[in-house]
Amino acid sequence: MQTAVGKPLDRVDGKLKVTGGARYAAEAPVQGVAFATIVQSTIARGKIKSIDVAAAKAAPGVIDILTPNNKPTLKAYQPDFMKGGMPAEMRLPLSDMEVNHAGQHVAVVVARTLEQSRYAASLVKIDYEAQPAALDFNSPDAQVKLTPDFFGEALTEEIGNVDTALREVDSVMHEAAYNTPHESHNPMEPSATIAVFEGDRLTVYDSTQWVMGTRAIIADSLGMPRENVRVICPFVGGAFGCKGFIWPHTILAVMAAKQCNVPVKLVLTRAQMFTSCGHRPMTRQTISVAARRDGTVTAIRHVARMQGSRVGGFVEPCGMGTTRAIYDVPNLAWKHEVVPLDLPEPTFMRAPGECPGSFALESAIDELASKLGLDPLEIRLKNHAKTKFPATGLPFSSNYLAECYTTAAEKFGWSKRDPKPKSMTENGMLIGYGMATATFPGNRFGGAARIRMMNDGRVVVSTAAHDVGTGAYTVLTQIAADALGVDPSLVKMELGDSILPPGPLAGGSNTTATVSGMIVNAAQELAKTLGKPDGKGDELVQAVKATGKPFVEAMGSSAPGPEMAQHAFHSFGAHFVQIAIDPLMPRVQVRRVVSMFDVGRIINPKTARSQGVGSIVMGIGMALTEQTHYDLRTGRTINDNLADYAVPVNADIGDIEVMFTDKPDPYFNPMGVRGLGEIGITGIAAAIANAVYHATGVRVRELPISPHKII
Amino acid sequence: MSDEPTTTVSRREFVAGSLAAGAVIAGAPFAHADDSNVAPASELHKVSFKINGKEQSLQIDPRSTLLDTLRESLSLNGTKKGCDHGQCGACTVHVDGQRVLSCLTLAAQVDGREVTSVEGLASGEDLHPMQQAFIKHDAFQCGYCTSGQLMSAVACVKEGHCGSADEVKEYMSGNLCRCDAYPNIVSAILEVAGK
Repeated sequence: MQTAVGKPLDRVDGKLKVTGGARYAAEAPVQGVAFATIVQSTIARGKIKSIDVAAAKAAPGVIDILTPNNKPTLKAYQPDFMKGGMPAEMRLPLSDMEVNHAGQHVAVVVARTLEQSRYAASLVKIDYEAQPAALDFNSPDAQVKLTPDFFGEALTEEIGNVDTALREVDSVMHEAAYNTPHESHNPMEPSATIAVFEGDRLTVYDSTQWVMGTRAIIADSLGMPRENVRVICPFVGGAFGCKGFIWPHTILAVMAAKQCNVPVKLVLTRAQMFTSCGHRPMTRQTISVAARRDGTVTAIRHVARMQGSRVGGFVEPCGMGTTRAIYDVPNLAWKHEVVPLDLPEPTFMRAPGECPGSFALESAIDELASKLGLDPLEIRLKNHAKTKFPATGLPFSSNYLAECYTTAAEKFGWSKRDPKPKSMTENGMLIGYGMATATFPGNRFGGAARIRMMNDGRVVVSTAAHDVGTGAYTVLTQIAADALGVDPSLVKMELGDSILPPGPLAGGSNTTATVSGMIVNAAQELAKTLGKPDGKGDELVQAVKATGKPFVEAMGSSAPGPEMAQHAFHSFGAHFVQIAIDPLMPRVQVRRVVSMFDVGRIINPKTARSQGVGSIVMGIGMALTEQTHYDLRTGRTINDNLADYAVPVNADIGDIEVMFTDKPDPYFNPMGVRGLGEIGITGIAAAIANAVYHATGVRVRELPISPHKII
Repeated sequence: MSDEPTTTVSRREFVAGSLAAGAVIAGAPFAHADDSNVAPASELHKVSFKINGKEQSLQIDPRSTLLDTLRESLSLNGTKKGCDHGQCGACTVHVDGQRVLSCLTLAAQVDGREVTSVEGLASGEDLHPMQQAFIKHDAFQCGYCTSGQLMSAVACVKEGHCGSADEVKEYMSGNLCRCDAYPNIVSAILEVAGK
């Protein structure tokens, strides 16, 4: 039988997206919707003394203005799905007159039209009593707090004895600090919410990676039964983590709809995106690493310090997927310290932890190789963990990192590299070759899916998971088609609606790994329900027809099980990059990237390649240009727009080749997939920094690698 | 240039583009408020233009951009708002056949003109070759920048800026894609351009 899995199927939602027919949150057709505009604080710390809304209220079209003085009272929510703090702002909007960061929502204006709302918001006058704010991450007075765990894993731990190993006679030691800046997700779609009350029911159209979590928090904070709240999000215009958890603007839109008794649409402006839905926090990471003369790495210590806020509990887990995972080293230590500042709450951004963490670790390994006179590829081939996960000693379910290193190196032409810095040139340009390891855990959560088979053979598969642009609609269609033995053109996938069977949040690259198991189980349940436990395709359709009903449906669920205690599930990969630098104007051009990833089975090579290429390009932005500047005096965002926060543009990007080992993970889930949305961005900044060193002899330990750091 | 709407330009040139738009805005007639329920009719501004081949006559708030008019008044949501500042290209439409940033264009400026949005690219069920090529080359992921990319891509071919991959990259650099489908966008455009 023809199988759909493994085929480069075009995106099933492609036609909707190229015709403008895909509806994003702000585009839901809602009659009589009013427009909300947020007023944000201009100070970083202090109190609101007074809010004068008289002029704004008198402006044409204004329905009401919510401030801490008149807002509806909500219950503080206690999430039952996260231990410890939320990786998002937990403070309810408008809850008091305190200001905890610049850009905090302090009022919201609701008016008949967008233009009226925006104008009236400009008339709200706020008088503050500013207090000194802690804004400097590098201040010697900075307070530090330790958070014990990250999803149940210790954020501070030591295996073996790192100090002793670092001091071992005859070993070579390297120690340095690596710095990464604040970065902003900047998905193309600004976060948006439309809230509609109808009697005791509430419908929320929200740009979110997690309809189920958003529903729970809205319902709990309003004191409504969760089943009376419906959150809908069939399409997300990019997210990268900033729509993963509920942020105050979503609750604000709901509060405004309740208070004004009209449906309310609230869309963040691009500038507001920099303070309202998280960012990747600035980090300073110190790596100490030692090896014997033969290149055997004996110890690694990874101490990561990152910005935190006063209003949430996020920790950037820099050492967790990196120092704990990549190298087979007997003495390992990692530690995470948060510096709470009067800045917005940071949150998950594509490969949280692994992304900045791999810049530090994979730069340090390159520096160590240089001190040892070893090839950067050789030191990695010699030391990478091959059979057991270093931090736990659990055997890997599967690990083909060695194949990634060697195959990508050959394809790239690594052997042509002259190891001496500044040794390779072309038409007056300095050429650099660099490489680094990519790393990301295999994550799988739980959930349920429903399959409904019609008597004409069409199939509807439903679960409250999401396609944030990854291709989930398409790959899940392929998985369902094969599970049922039908053509993918007969399968319709329904996602992004909280009335569907509960699905996972789109985070941690888990969607395909989680939902594929749910779908395979639902297909088996359906076959059993039809009395054809081994039946496929037409046999099932005939059985549906025989029931005389228009359709038959079945539910299937799946969740991680005992396999989690038996194996470590982790994906790895290798990047090789070639850069060119004009010695007179040292702007880095990334000419070529060759990367290979071991992420289990590839369901759709076309969408998988796109994920790989896209995450590499985002990594190039991180390496070379991206940085959010919060002003050290005011805490306000200096570059709160897409001209001054420079994401990569088409002209910045050279040739990118992405390969996969495509070897199914034997224990993780029925499809053998481990997810691939994030791994591509890990390691790329280090590979570029390593290439910059090779081209110029200058080691840049601070991102982004701007020209002035190379001169 | 002063009586022409701003065309999409690379980000490097966007400041110049914004200034040109500013010049047009300064010359536009002003009135007030766009909702007859809450503002006197005398404060609304009448605008007539052709959208995707259909004549459209509207009473609008003179402050309304073409982008907000398409999205909020005409329910043509295919045109996207990514930045509202002419920096991302998601709102690109064609005005009289030229690519234009609809967020930097007041609706009043298109009076008497012909506007094409992404909804007007296909002929019925038949997709435009550029739409087909975008699907075939997987030239998008989340889809939010896609309408703007398509409108710029069609214009890029028409303008004759498809001589090489490098030329396409340069002339498509005013359209940001955060999913970073750039190489696939270039492949799609080169295919349509016959390269």
